[in-house]
Amino acid sequence: MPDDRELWERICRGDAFAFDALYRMHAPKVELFLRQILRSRQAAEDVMQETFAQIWRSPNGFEPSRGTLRAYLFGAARKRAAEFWRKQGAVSNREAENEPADCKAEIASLVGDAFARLPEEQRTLIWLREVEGQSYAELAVILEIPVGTVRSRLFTAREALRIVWHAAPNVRKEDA
Amino acid sequence: MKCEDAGEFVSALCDGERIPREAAEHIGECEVCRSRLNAYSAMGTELRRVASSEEQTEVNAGSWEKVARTQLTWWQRGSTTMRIPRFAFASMLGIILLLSCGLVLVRARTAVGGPVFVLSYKIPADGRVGRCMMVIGGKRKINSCSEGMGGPWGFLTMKIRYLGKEAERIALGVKTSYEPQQRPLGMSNIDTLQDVPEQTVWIEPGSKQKISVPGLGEIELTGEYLDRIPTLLFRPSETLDPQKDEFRIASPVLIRGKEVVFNLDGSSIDSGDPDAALMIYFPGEGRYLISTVPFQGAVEGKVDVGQIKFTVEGQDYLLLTAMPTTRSEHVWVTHDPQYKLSEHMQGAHDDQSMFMVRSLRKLLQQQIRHIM
Repeated sequence: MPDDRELWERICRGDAFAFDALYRMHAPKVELFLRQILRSRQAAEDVMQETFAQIWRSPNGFEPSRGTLRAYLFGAARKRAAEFWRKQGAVSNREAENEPADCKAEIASLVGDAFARLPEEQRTLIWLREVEGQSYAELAVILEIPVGTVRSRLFTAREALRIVWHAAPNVRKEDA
Repeated sequence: MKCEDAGEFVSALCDGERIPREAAEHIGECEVCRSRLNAYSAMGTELRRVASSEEQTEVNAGSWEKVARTQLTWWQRGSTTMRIPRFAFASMLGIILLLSCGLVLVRARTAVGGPVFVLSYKIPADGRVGRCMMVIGGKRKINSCSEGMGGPWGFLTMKIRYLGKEAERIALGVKTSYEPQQRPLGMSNIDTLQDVPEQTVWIEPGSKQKISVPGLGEIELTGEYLDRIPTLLFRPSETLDPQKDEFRIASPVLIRGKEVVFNLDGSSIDSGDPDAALMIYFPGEGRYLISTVPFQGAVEGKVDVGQIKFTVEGQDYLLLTAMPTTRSEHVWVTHDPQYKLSEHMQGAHDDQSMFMVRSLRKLLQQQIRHIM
């Protein structure tokens, strides 16, 4: 498997096979991540497609010296998601709140419920760390914040999740 | 260490990060922190379980191409067809026609960005405005100008050089020299600028720029493009009517009998001096002095809008100018054929022509040290 730099250089030269490899490797995870922050399967799919389409049309912005290609992709997806929120505005927020049958059903567990109640930034951070296994350095690239800030914000997010989780009526005491 | 201080390290430990020894010891001994560590770990495990159970999108080789194709570029979008109502199409054509007519009118009216750049500079001491013109396009190029302005506050000499242009902005090299003493004749001396460093100033039409002149203050600079060389540089936007106590001349032509004595370019103006006078020097002809007030040895001439008629030494003269020179109906004229410019103006040569309007008193009594 080519390393990030080689893969990116081939993509920049218009190598469709290289881009296909990138897409197949990361698109599912990027979409899953987007579902958590957009709370809509359709919106997540759209934003994921826009993210990759934009990278194929004009591949720029990735610097191997600054982080991994995976971190760059998730960062790009996160920015697209933020643009999506800005464009959709209150309509999408309202739809998301009234849409328990979509994503919320998929993460139907006590932790999942608690997770869904967190602010978007904390959901992003916890998902990327716990599910995607992004390192602190990668999180710093994705969120464009210093590594030290990643650590403190992760703690804040986890603590928020723990408090919401504890507040749920069915939490067993020994879990806490 | 207290639990609240150790919380961040509990989170870091959960991520497999190294933590300080003191924090590690506290977490090992503290039930609350260990419970928190277990909770964090359980939350992570549960989230990963939930994520694993979620349906992931299946992607096949080449599936991204469909995605890319659906994101049409602007030219691809432009090549597709669309349907609009007939009245909307007709309205669109009408609007395009109207806008086109308007654009033509605007272009005809303004003609911005012409080859002539007129720089205005405002003196802080009395608010007077001087102007300098550069022609940076076309056949007749003028890339620099030297200016002088004086008053009770002293005398300012400027040399301005065209350096370059970027879009509408123009870069000028400006040298200034200020003398607090008043100059009797109001003539500038560019020799004073020889050792003065040149400042580069960017001027954008419509905006003000300032340059600092030690001892005088800040001079305000503005500039505008014209599509032609103005007839009267000093007041390009004014009418042809001369003001009170104003004498001005542009592109003078002197005719003696049926012979053209000279035909000169340029313009000069003097405002506020009730004895304003025109001095013209031409090689081989000497000096003509034409004043709005009588003076010794002068003969009376008649002003008729842009013409001045007079007779000296038995010969009839007609001075034609490109615009009315003065509100006065009469002028007084002398002719000194023996006048040598080099004997009166330091640095001047006898084979060069020149003309200027100044106070008669100054023209008569002063030895001119230098000419710009």
